[in-house]
Amino acid sequence: MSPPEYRVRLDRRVRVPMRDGVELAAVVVRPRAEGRFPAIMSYNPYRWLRQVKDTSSDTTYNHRWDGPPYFAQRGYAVIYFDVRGTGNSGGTTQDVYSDEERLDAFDMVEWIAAQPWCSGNVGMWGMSYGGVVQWQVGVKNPPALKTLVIGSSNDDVYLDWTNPGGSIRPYMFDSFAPMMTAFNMAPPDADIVGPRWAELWEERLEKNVPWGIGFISNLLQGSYWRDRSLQPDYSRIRVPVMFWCGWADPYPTPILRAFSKLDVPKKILLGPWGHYWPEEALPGPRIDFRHEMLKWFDQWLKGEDTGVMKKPAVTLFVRRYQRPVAHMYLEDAGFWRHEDEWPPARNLDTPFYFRPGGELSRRAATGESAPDAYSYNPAVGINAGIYWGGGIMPWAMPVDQRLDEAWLLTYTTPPLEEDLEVTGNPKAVLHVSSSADTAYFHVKVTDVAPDGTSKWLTDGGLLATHRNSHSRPEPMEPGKIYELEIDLKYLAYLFEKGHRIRVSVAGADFQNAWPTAKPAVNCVHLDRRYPSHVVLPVTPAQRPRLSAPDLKPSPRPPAKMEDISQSTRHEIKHDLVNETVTATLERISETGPAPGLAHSTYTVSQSNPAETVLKARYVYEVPPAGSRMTVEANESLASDPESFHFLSQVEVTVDGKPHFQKSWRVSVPRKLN
Amino acid sequence: MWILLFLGMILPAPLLAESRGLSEPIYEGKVKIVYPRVTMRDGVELATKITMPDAEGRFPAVMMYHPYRGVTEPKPDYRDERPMLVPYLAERGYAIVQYDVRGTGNSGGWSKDIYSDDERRDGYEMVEWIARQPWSNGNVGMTGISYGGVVQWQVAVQNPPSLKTIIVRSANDSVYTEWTYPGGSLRPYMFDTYSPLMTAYNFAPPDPEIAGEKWSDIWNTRLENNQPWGIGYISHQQEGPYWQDRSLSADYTRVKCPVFVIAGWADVYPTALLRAFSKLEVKHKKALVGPWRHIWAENEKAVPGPRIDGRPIMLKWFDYWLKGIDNGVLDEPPVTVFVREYDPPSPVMPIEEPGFWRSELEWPIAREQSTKMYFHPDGKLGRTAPEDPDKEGDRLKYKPTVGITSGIHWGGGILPWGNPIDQGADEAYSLTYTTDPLEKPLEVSGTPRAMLYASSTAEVAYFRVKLIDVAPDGTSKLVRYGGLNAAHRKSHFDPEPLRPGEVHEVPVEVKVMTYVFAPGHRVRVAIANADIQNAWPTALPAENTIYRNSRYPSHIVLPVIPEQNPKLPEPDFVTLPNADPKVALGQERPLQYSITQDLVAETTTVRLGKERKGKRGDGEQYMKLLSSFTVSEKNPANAALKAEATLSIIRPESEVKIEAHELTSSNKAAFRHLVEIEISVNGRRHFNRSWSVTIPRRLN
Repeated sequence: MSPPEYRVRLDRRVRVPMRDGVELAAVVVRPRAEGRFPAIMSYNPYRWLRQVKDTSSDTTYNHRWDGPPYFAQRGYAVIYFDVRGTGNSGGTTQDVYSDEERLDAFDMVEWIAAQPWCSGNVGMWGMSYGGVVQWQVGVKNPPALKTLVIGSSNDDVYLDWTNPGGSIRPYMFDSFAPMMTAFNMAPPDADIVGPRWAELWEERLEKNVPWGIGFISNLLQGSYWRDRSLQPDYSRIRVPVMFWCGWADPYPTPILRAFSKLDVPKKILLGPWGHYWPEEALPGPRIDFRHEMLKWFDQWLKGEDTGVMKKPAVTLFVRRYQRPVAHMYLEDAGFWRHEDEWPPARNLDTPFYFRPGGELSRRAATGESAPDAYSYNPAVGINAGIYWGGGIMPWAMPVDQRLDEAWLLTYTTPPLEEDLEVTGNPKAVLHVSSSADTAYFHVKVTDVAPDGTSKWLTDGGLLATHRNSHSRPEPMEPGKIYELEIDLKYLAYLFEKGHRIRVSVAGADFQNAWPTAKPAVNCVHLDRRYPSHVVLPVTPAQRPRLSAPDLKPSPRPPAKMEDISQSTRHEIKHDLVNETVTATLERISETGPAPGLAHSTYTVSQSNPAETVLKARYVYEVPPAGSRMTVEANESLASDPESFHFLSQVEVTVDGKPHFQKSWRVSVPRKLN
Repeated sequence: MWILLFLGMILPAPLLAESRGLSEPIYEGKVKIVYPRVTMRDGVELATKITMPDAEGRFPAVMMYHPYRGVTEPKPDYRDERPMLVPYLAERGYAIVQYDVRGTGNSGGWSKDIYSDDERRDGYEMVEWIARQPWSNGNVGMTGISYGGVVQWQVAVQNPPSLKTIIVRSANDSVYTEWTYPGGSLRPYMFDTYSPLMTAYNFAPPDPEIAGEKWSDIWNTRLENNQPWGIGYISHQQEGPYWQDRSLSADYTRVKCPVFVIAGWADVYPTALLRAFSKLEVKHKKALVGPWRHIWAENEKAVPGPRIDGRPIMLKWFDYWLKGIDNGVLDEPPVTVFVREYDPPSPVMPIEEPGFWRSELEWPIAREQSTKMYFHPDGKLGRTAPEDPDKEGDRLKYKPTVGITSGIHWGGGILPWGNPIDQGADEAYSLTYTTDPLEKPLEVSGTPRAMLYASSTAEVAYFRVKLIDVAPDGTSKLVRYGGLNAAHRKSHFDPEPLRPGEVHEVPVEVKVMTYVFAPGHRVRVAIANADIQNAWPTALPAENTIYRNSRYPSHIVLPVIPEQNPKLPEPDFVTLPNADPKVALGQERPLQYSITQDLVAETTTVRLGKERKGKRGDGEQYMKLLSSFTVSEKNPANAALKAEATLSIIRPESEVKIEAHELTSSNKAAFRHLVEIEISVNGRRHFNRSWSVTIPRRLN
């Protein structure tokens, strides 16, 4: 593997002209030496360029800023650039992952390859936004692009990010949209961009549009989202891909799905982590992932045989029970294992049937029985947490689920007589009917410990009006029984002997899915004719056993409780006078990938589920500290029986005085949700 | 259906109530209101308000008193005086004497403690003062609700010769167990509402129009000497002389006059009043329990209905005992109760509750069949005793924030909100024992008693017992409840630690009730170790075990009531239309009632808020109360209750604002109570003072 043989050179003021004259801002970190080096590219709209470092620290290693010098020392040029209309780049942005932005990436790959310091081989790395864009570049197959290292990102923007199961994800509006509005209305860094900064900012203030408008205007699957997504045509990716993700992250499912669908040289690492790079992740164990990446890039960009393809393709962390707490664990419970494929070929997909009396059984009902009914409570999900922590990660993890289960239908096995591993892709098959023409069905699988604690493991939801298509919703016929197949998030989990498996069904999961508008009584049918069930991928022991993964520990020390901010707020308020439930989130972070103050309140009404209101505020103090420029975004999304109403207001102040104000307002029909 | 049949029975004629000779309203339009100041033995003057016929003659008197600033200026029309009983009785030839407790309202003197020794002596003196007045016929009765009910016991046990009867509405017979420390646990209501409210009230000035020129001297005396009553509550955490001196329950035989008790199931004290009724040894006593909240039955805000006019019922009693009219009131069955039925739970009291009225000859009902319902494995509740010597028991980890669905007993500071909601969320953290669906209706009327055989890993643990009606749709409705700090299992006077690991008998009395469980419904008993809205959490983390084996057969005894035979006549009340929701609920809507789970801090916070505006003479009075009670999941010893009361008295010439901030908190070692009071006059600071007490925790 490449040794650390070079000193490092960092150019923070690189500007690259695009086909239409727009200049993108880039930072190039490369060996301070003559020669041509392979390049690694990454980009996003998060205003990172000023934070990239020219020396790499071990004890505080953060891949975003420490990765470029680490790789430059080892003979790579690392190039980060800002999406057009954001950060220090020129141009404007009206939409997340815009058409122009995707074309820019192709141009950038080819520009990099043409540089005198570049060997002509370009790879990419990145997670999250910086992962999704790799598919967007990958499907265009720029000739110089040789490999991708994709962490923590989705292959289907609509299904895995903005509208899981067809419902609006509140996270998009409580955290992501207001943060991006504030970021995208902020000025470029004057000290980096030079005198043109003000001109670039003016254009941006005039033409940039809050991305939330695109989200709320595209509530159905369609070309807007398909253009941005890898799914369904995976054959468009032709370069080798290394995948990584964590079970506490938003995207293990799309990462594993893409891994299993791609027909290229590939490898995957699935840890216990949240939405972090593995060196700095919660929950631990943290690993040295730069070491794994170096082996990969040496193989595919330098053409060295590092042996990376000789190891089993899948390395995963199988989790086991640990008492649920509201923050990510410092260390998760479980163990590492290799597999040759995902899902493990030896899996036995095993149906577990719902039975009257709340039983969950491997045997289907043979008789006839009345369905189980529940009244739709739009405020269910108070202890379900926010999937992956959303805007307040590492908080908002699901805690003991018993409080919510009081309002759910639950089906539970007897205590297990032996350990049972479930590693793979579970799904639920529900036979349901509703008194309304619109209903959401949420299915959750939990591990019930002997002391009664019910630990969230996986879930999935589906707007039943989307049962046939996320593009063309159809009303339900009240009372009619429908069979719904609901994909549950993938998992690798060992149920311990004495524990019980519980499946629950609800009409809402309000912190993760905008509640449907209509009061309803829903039925889950569970007799011979309508055998509602879940299918769990039961994983027998591996024979013969593959070698144990040999992962190096992270250069950073293990996480401590001090690493978890205590100033975050996550409160659930039951207002018994107005019959509403409000989730309040607040996060203040002075540094890191998303600096600023984020605050939101999200109120659902138990007496009138159509009336839901989300209000969010993001205050971004433009760096460097002392510049006295502040961008504040105030956004709200409210629903009534007919429509969604989105409002975005931006105010920029300089030295405390108003400098710029603008607001946008859009209403869209609900369309059976 | 069976109820309709039941009510449709023809009643035997001799048992029908006679109703001859209720006093007629012959003084209608001829009522006067006067305000004599009455000097007590020590020179302190009490402010009175007497509403009586404006005519020559000698009249019986009905005395009422409390510290709620009740001696108010007259309304332009006497018919608007409140409570509605006052003008009603005056028109019918009674003098109603209302007065303010010393140190409060328009009276002189000072007040350092609730129901102080001096205050109780004043009650005796006032009765005899009334009897000496030239307009008095020498017969004095008393009535009143709540505070005004408790004080009747306190006067009656002194037996002033002129006191002829009392009508006690909604009052306790035991201040410690029914009000301040039910089951030996501090009731949060005392500090979220009552104590800050009374601090603000008791530091407010008298009305110059009533107290006259001396008003500012009276106020200064009060500011100098009054003390927040909460100090007395927090300083007396066990039963003892402080509470016994104030309570009838110390010795029921002391009361010698006839007694009529009136209570409501949605109210705070049916248990206390029916117990007093059954324990009093006076020859003549009567009890009426309706569905109502803490308010007179005829009041326009009386929910849950059915509303009735309570005034003629009380008049009949007073006519008999104070005027000597033989109106047959003693021939009526002495007990009338409203028997409740299932109604889906809601956080606000319903306008009308399903159920029916029934008369009884005694309480507890003699035909009661005490029925033991035993706890069994797998959460079953049944009539057969366990035969299995199973030693395991059911384990329950103490979670101090259980009780989010319990509501607040009688609504406390936010009534008519605070009703229990569906119990599911709490049942998840309780032990529950449930019968099979009932085949026949099951009436439970009386006092259920649970016997828990329990052990704890700690030396103190609280046991809440909830009796629940599970509807066929799974809704879980809280019908009645009780609780006991198990360190008080033998005595509220002298708590004894639990011996960790040892099995103790923990008897938990459930509040008195009348209720019909309908066929198809199930009876459930839920056990929890906390009830956040009603009991201050115990300090020590614990895992508790309830045993249900042949040696330790934990159970509940239900007073099951067979049909009445022969049937007694249905009471002939004057029914009133149900309360107008706009008035009963709209005007009473709390500023806030919320329960917040803080997932980061692992705490639960209950927030309450209420405001009240009212005309007072030619000015107005505004009261606002806000509180938050935070309980820690991780460290149950640490609980904190913050409350603030703001009282503004706005008169044409001045505005007096009294703000009381109180913080009541606990840690492992102690309770702490801080009070800060600040008074401004016309926006300028006039007075401020603070108090702080720390009381060691003793097995609670």
